[in-house]
Amino acid sequence: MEEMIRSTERGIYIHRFHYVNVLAPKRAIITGMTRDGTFLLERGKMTKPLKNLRFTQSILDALSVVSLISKETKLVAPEAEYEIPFLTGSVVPALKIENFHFSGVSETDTSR
Amino acid sequence: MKDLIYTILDLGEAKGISYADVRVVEESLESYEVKDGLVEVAEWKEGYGFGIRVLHDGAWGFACSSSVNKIEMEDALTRALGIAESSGIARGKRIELFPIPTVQNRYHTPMERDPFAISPAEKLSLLIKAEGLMRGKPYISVSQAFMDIYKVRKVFASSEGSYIEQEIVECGAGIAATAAAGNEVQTRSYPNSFRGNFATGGYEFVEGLDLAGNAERTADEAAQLLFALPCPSKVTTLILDSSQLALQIHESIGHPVELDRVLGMEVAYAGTSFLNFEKRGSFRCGSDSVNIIADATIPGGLGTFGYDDEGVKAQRIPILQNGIFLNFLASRETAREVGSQPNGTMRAESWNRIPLIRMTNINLQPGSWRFEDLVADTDDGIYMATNRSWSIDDQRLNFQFGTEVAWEIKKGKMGKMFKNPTYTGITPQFWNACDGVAGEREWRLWGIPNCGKGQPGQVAHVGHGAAPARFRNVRVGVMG
Repeated sequence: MEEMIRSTERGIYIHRFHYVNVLAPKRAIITGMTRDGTFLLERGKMTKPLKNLRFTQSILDALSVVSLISKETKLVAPEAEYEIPFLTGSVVPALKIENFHFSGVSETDTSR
Repeated sequence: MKDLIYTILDLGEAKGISYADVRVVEESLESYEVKDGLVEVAEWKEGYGFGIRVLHDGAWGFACSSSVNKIEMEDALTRALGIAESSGIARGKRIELFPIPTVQNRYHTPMERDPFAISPAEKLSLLIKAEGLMRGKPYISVSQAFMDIYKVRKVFASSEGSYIEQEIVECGAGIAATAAAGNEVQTRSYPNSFRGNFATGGYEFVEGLDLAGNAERTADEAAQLLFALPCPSKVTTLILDSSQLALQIHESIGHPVELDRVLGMEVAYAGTSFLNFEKRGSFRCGSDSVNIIADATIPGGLGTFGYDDEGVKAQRIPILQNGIFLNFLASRETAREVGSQPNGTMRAESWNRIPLIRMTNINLQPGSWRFEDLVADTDDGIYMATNRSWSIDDQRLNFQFGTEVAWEIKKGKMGKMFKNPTYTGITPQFWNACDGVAGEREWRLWGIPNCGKGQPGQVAHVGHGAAPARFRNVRVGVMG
């Protein structure tokens, strides 16, 4: 993981996605938001926190431009599906994806 | 049952528990699906059990069982008390309940024809007829028809003296046609996607949907979508049909006004809210055209009932008035914490879950336009109908929706069809850009039977009333 960050000249570190849904199933285009910490990577370092970002991206395209895969893996157990009382999980590495497409940003302060 | 419940509540009092409530819940569900000329699903489900919630020394405890008898209830009371005592060791603020009047009453959904009294054959023949009218039409590869009927009988009794019996009946149905050609696949649904439309009421609601009368048009539109142009990418005027607007209200107004989210009780899973208590009464969350009411009393709404699962009477509460945010949905606990009023919005999925703050019917009030005038008044825009996908951030600000179909609006006229439509925006800006809502004639109630919340997850049945509305300067056609 540290090497993946160190090797990044300019990029975004995403910790978690929120409310991901399918826009176009045939092309596997999905959209969702980042949450719980999104950070700017500059010259191999995590430099600043970012507002939450929306991505709209074909997941097939994203997986075809993976440049690094972490050695470390993590057990990620999302919520069991509603009405399906099984806990499911995936053991997954971190990915470094070139050209991931963000389509929007969340406003955090809407006071007027 | 009454004697048994009172025995348990008396026992709780003898143990020194400051507040307890018992809910006994009996559920029946019938579910049908016809697919490509065959009965794919004919399912009957039943459930029966009770849950006991106790508030002891400022902390909650809850226990439940599917065996409804004295021994199990005594055991559950002891377990609930044990959990409250354990929770008390690590509790933050001492939980207190907003005082409410005690109630002895009954409520049942008004209806003409009990859907459970209709034979499965009659229900299936209605579906087979509608599905058959789509099957075999040009390019149609899958044709489906759905029906669900649901009944819950529940007793709520509290140590404060309330005893409420309710019987709520729901039903609904829908159709979907999927067309395919070459590499393209498109689905069109009626009256709504994700199994149709749902309401509290009798079988007359299902019959009134006229699935058969809309089957051929639904199939034709699915086929037309195969050859439609993709939705253009631009910032334009957007008109939404009432069913997509229902989900827009749900995600961007309904969820953010749940007070438990604001207080941080849903952070880990569902998220928080861009609203806070200081914004109440002053924050502009929409234009003057936007009036939204939470109404648990409206006949036929999927979120219509007599009393919530805390024994608070169903209410009609202004949420946005001329665009200004006025009220949260609140429970006895959260109302007490922030100094507001509980408004009858606590519901549990079943006997084995604690109640949470849930939407009732969150309705956009009708405006003064007619749909055709909204279109005629639009020089350049797009009309989108029927939800296909949804996504919104954990503060409920940045949303993106996909719909099944869209049509171009040019010089006040509906033009060519677009496939794969999407639109995106930021909640307050979007509602502030609403400059016209259609009137009573086009206003519909939409039932959403799959609202998810909580850990462990609970599904709630909620409703939204809406008429088509127009929004300016919306970004459409976001496709990566």
